[in-house]
Amino acid sequence: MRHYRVRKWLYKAIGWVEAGSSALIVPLAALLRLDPAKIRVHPLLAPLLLWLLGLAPILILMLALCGGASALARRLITSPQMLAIIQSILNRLQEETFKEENDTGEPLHDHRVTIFKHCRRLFRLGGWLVPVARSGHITQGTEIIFRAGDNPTKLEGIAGRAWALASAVVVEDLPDLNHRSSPATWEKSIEEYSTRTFVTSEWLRRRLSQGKPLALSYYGIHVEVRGAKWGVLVIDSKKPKAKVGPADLTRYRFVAGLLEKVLEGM
Amino acid sequence: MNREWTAVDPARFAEFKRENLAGVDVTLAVSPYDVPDGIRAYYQDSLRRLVIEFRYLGLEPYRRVRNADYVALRIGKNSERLYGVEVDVIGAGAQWVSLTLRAIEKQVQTRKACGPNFNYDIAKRLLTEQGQKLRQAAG
Repeated sequence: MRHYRVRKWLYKAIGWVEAGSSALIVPLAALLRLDPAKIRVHPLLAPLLLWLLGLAPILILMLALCGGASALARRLITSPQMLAIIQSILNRLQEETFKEENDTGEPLHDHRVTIFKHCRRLFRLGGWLVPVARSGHITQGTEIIFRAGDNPTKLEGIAGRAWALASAVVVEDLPDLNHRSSPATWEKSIEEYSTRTFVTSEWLRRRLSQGKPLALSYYGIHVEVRGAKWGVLVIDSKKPKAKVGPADLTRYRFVAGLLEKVLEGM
Repeated sequence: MNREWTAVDPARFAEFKRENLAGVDVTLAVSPYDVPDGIRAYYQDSLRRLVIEFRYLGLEPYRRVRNADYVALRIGKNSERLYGVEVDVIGAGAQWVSLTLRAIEKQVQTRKACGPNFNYDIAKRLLTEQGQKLRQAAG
């Protein structure tokens, strides 16, 4: 989710490089088949043509490499179209899940849906859950990532737990840290919040000092593609109770089915 | 051969369990992926067995696990979800449902994946409720 605009621009630019490389290879290959002795060109163009003929093999090789590298790079970056589809699915899930809250005018960012992808990073050992998309239009620039490797003692957040358990994890009635209370109660609340959400109190204090909102309930669920774990979906809300009734299960099931089809291509 | 799916309402299985994770009490809810939305039964001539299958959101390859007489379980290779059971109903006789339930129980104990057993519990419930009816429907 970080640098969304830059990624979007980069994806387009790489696409142009890929298309340009392919488009140039064809005339250059055709040029190689020409016999310079048999063609009539303007005397001023002849040196240019001869120069191009001499360079054509190496140019073709370079363009093929460039095209291949671009195609590979584009596969590594999630396409903006794909992101838009995922975002619209998350928006729809948010609208349906928090219909009552939205209708009463509560801010969208008080009830959010975020999807994290499980990644193995080269310079960070173990697995990590990295945000891919979030419902709504603000709080999009999140940099939050959670550790989700093989070591169960190092799992972070509700997302990390949902990933490891391959199940839905529900945490409700968390202390409200968005309003400061007396110092003693405040410290106790921070400890309780961090313990129950599987994050460190330092991490929590950092978020509070940055003015980041903290939810009162979480529902985290792993996301699968063909039976294999892909990532995690987290629904956080400023309502103390999570939405986990039979109707909610049907809704999550529908969305999980949609996401599976979309994520197959990622 | 009738291989029609019988619809199952996933909302019936909105279940919860309280568990202690690393010293913290949390509620685990059933995952949408673990709830089948269809069940069917048919006789597979090549196996000479009654096959009962569960339909989930996604498809994945499965492996056969034979941990009890007359019963083989179809276990998802990635998720370890129960995709179906193959029962020699002639050999197992009238006890085929209880034998199948016991085979599922055994599988729960040998399961490698951590996390709750919602999927196996749901499968057992469906087999208990609809096992005999499904067998009759299979012919």
